[in-house]
Amino acid sequence: MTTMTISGEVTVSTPGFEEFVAARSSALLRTAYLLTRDHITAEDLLQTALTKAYLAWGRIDGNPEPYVRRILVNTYSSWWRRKWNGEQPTDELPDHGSTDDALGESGDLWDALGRLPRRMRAVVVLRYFEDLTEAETADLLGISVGTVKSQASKALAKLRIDPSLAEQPAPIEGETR
Amino acid sequence: MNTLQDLRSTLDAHAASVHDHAALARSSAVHGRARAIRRRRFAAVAATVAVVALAATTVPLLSRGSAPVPADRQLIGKVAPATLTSLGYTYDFENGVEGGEKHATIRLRASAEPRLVTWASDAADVGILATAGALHLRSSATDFDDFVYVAPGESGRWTIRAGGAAAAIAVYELADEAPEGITVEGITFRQQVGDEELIDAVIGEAGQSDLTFQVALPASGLRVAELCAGVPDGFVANVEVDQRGVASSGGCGDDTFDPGSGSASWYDAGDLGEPGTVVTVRTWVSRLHDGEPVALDDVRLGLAAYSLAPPVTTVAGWRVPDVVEHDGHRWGFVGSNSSDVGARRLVVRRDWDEPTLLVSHVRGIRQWGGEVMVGDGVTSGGGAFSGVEDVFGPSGGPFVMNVRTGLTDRTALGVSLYQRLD
Repeated sequence: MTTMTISGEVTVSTPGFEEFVAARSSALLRTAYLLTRDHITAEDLLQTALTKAYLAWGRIDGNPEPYVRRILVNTYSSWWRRKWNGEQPTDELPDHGSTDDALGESGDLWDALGRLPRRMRAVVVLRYFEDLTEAETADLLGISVGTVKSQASKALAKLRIDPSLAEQPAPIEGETR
Repeated sequence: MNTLQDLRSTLDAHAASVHDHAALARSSAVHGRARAIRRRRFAAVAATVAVVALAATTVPLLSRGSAPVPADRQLIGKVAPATLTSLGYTYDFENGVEGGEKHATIRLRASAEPRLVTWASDAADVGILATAGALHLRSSATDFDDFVYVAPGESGRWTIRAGGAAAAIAVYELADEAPEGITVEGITFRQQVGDEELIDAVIGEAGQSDLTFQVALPASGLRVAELCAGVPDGFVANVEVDQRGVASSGGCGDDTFDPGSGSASWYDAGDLGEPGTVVTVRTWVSRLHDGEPVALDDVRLGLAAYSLAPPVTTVAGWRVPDVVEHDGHRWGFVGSNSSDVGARRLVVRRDWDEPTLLVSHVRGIRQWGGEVMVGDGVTSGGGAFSGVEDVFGPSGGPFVMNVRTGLTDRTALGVSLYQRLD
């Protein structure tokens, strides 16, 4: 990332694409994995999002990460099926990869996350992994704050999560991440 | 009852399990994808330019080495048919060449529309070679009764080798007749694509930037195919079904041929509701990441709903359709081979008499570091994947799939076999 000073104001310029990929794509890959629950699909999703961003790189002002993240999440939401010549896998995600036994304690919750509808899962990942505010989540997904609230509420209900049992409060609207 | 902390811990733990082995290669992979997109865009533009140039200057279609023949369709004493049909589309005879002593050769420049190349010979069978001498196929059809499909934008040289016997090639260009389906101003969503049936479609006029129609969900699943052309940089075509599953595409080119077989989204029955549930399908143009419809004069949009057919079988965990399309032909399922679960190797011997299209199916390979040799030296990654391999003739060695690394107790390997229906 480089900075420029113009008329006394510090302006953050868009980093080079390679620089951005090197610095941020691992983090984006983790988000992609939480969305897709599949390593190969996550890599494919990330590369798809990065390709779209790359083709528009010259039009991005400032920090490109929100832009790329938005492409990533929206591309994920639109990835209902990928196929060749009419074939479909039997499952939405044909291979969930190896199960890490170390995660066994939360295995049920992970499985339940996988059963959430895509948009709802995206809301959960953005709110409780990315720690985006409701407004930021709404902006990124292109939906209203009210929809984010209702989707999050339904998701928590499906995950059998009682917010009152939270050991750590969810981020407050506008809180610094 | 779980807590939010449980949820955060679960997400954090699984995110931490991601090891970014591909980081170094990612940038170059993205560049490769971008180049491919740009090539497709360029090819569409270049093809249009090429067609204009041909029309203006009547540049000979035929290459050196083979004598052009007037369009009377008489070649080496055989009459080429006036038309050929491929996937419902009609193609008219355009021109042909008779070969010299060794072979007949024709060179095709890129065109915005697809073409068919057919051949005849006095030999019992011939070899059809594509550009660079790669054997495309051997064929015993030697009376203009078979063809190869040349996709829009594709160029190159095609050669018929007949072992010294007389040989000829004829080229066919897309005719005006539309195939069965829904056609508006030269753009057609075909009634049947593979074994999928068209339910309904809407094709907008130029400048119509927002299209909507309703469709009842079929029992076996819904496929939505979209057409977008003339969408400039900075704008995207969006697709949504029942206000869900929004897809944005900024990669619209200018190609409007056969949109039903092109980019599309698939929806399983149940994802959107019970069969019979009426859903709204919509496509519209907006600015990038805006979502608000905008009107653009040159945009061309279309949208079609297809009913998926039930799979004919399941191979290695993949649903396999009864009919697929490949290289301008329809192919019907004739069988499959599967390994035992956990097996490292699958060998498929060529015990067929006709050219056979092979489709590989793999699942249960360890995600990271998994490698599967598929066919002749092709290495793929781990996880689960499936794809068309190639058309294989009756002779030659077996088709082998071999798990080099990443074998698990869930590994399954399979091959579906298809033979020509037309």
